[in-house]
Amino acid sequence: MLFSSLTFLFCFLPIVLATFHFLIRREQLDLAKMWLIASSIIFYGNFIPVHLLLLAFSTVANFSLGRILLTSTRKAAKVVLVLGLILNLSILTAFKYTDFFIRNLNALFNADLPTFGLVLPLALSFFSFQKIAYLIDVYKGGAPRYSFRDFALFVVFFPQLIAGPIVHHRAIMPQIAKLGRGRDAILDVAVGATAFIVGLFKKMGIADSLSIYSDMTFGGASRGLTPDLVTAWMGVVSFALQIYFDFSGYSDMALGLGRMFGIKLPVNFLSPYKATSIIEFWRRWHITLSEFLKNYLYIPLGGNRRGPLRRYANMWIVMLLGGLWHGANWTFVIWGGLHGLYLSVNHAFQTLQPSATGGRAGKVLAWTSTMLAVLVAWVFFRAPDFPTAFRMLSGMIGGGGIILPSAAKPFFAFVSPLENFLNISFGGMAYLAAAPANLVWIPVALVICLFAPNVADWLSQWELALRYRSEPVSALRQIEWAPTVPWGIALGFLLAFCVTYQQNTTQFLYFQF
Amino acid sequence: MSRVSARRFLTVILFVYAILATAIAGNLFVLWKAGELQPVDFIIREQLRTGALYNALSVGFADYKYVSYHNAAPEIVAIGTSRAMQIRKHFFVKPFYNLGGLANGPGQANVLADRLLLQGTPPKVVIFALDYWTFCQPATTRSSERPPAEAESVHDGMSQPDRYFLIYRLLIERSMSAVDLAGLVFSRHGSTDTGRIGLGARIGGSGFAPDGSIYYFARVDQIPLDRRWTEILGRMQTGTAQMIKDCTVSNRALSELKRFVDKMQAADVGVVLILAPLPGAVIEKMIAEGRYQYVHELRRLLIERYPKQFHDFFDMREIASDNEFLDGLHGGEIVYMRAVLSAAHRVGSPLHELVDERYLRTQISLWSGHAQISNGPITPSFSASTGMVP
Repeated sequence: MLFSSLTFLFCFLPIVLATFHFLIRREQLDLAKMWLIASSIIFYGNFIPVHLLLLAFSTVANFSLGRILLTSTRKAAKVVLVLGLILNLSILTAFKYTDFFIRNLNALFNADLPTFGLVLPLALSFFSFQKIAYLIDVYKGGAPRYSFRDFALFVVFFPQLIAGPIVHHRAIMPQIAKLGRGRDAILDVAVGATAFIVGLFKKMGIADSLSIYSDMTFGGASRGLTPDLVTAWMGVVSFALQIYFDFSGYSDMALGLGRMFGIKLPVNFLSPYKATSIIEFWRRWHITLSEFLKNYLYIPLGGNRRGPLRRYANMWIVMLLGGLWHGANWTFVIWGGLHGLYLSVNHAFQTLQPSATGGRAGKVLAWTSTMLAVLVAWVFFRAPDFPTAFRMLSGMIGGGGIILPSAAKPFFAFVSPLENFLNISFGGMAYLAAAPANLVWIPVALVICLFAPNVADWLSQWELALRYRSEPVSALRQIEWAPTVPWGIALGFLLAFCVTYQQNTTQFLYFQF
Repeated sequence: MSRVSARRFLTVILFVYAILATAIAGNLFVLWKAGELQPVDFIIREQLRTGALYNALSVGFADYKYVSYHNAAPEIVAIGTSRAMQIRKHFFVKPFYNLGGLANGPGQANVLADRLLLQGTPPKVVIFALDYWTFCQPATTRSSERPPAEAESVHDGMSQPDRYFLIYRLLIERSMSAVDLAGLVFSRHGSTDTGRIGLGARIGGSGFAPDGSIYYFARVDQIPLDRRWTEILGRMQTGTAQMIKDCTVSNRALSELKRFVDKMQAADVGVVLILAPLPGAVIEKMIAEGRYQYVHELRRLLIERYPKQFHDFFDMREIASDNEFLDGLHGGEIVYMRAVLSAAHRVGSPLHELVDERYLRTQISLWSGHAQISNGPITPSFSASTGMVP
């Protein structure tokens, strides 16, 4: 059941939300929590029911380990923590990396070991991290004693369960403890519904419309075709926009849903494509993952406390593992490795030129180089294998020639002597033939990415999310939201557009991670 | 901001939400009345029990054909586009299933082979009705050998249409009238007891029989010949769709065909390739136009490369009259009976022992010069409803 599916929108959500607020109004707070847990279990079980067993086992086991940690001596607690980490990482590794490991062994030793073909349980990567953070914090004395019911709700709360944001117990448990108390339910639902509808538009209007171009281009490259220059760039830019709108749309929906139930979730995206450096990009992209990796991997590894070389090494380790977290494929590792390299270069540059600003031109140059670096890395993220990635990169530098529309030929008469040299031809353009109407979404997406405020910004006055960090004022920021009738009409139209526009809803990209 | 304001805001949103929910519920009700929401297994059981025809508009038909195919466990299979769909079970003496509509060309035939034909026990013979236009490489686009190539893992019939507002779209497109809608909504019949299941069968013009072949409801024999070719000649005039001019033979399509044939032969599956026919009137126009040389080149190449498997039925003017064609692209049942019989007669044909020669000869002599015939053995309810008797 996807957030964007009509089953969710018109069946699951209204029933769960209405019953929850009914129970809250009747002051049946415990029952309301139980209702949310039950609903979340149905939501998760709707994907692959048998995976509920794993979720249940993991939840009970981590809760029990947490309880033991709370009452153990320091020495015993260390053993329990190690056991807990082994348990969580073993489950993650078994489901996510076993086949990857076997395939690599086979390739390395020319062996023929059978793979298991295990289906990765949804959200495993997310809830494993959530629980690891919990155990480490209990060990460090940073987590109080929670009831099992509250802990279970923290883990399975459906808005964040499948693809994050990766929520931290310290941020969520206090809200769960006083769920339904002292909140304005009408305002919660109004603010939440607004974020949800905007997220729905980002996913269904934009991301799904752009998927055809990236699928087509990367699909062609995976079949051995080097795309021409324009097609290659169209494919990569489309994917960059698709993954941003898909994932941030999902996150906005999650924030909105959380708020509808009176729970504020952490912000996961802050307009990452406005970043003018890779360091800034990672402060804006998948923020909750970055924070997890920083707090539970980078800092324990020594962070930046042991000299610059060790700092860069730590950064690389974190980014390589972050890449591997996204998928059991070397392409993801390279994606992470590239970002590790970018970050190292960026930090080194900052160390050498701490006050470099460069004015407006410098900012444009910084933004352009940042985006180029990000796009090159996205090629590895999207490509199923290295040959595909290299074909795409080759296409991006003209290795597949340049194809322009036939209608453009008269305008390019002056380049005719260069036609052969640059391998320019005129003819059908693949993406134009595939879905010409969808092209309109590319400028729309770019304008939103670069000039519009993100949802958390836009709704900052209404405290949509936790830990909100205000953005500098942008032009479109002036369009402030308020729960008024005109905004109701506008968002009603947007909702109607999304629901009627719904074609072949594709899975959220981040579900696979 | 006051609580009242937030309440008004939510009221507006809920109003839109309620309209959408009502529209979706109304749409689902009509789909349910038309039998579109029934599970595939149930539909197939009903078809086998009553001979009902099935054609849904709210779901791709690949799932339906896959399940029917497995139920039929056929030894003979027909694949291709809608031009393969007139080949029927009663042409043969062994189990047959028609997968027509799932492969629009050799590339998709390979996908279908990987996904279905070569999974489990493969059939003994595959009849692949080829369409000349799937071998067309347009002269005007140098990038036609580049992406988008045929999808690697999908074939026709697999896409899921937008089902939640389907009825309204059909009404707007005038594919369904208000009278049709009222007929469905107020019908006292259940969703499957009219002999026609699904919107396409209830209000449209065709339906799949239990053997996967298709029946058209219109009495084509009553349509004057020149009106049958109007649409295709229009396409010829504009050089669009199946009638693109000045093509060359696509090497990619040829190599996909070779891959398919090799794959089938490796699995010990006999292959019968037929170039599906066009009516004489259309062929004459194509010749007069002079810009479809690639079709002749294609025929020459196929004869040369597949002397045993390939049967050139593109031009059947010598044995079938134009009256036997449903329209400018589709031969009627008799045309395909003639083709299958002819293919079975070739020395070494894998169809040799498999066709019901007596039945075919009888039907051909009874219905020669007709585009449709009555098929009692498969769909008695359909035959009765159309009133067609020999």
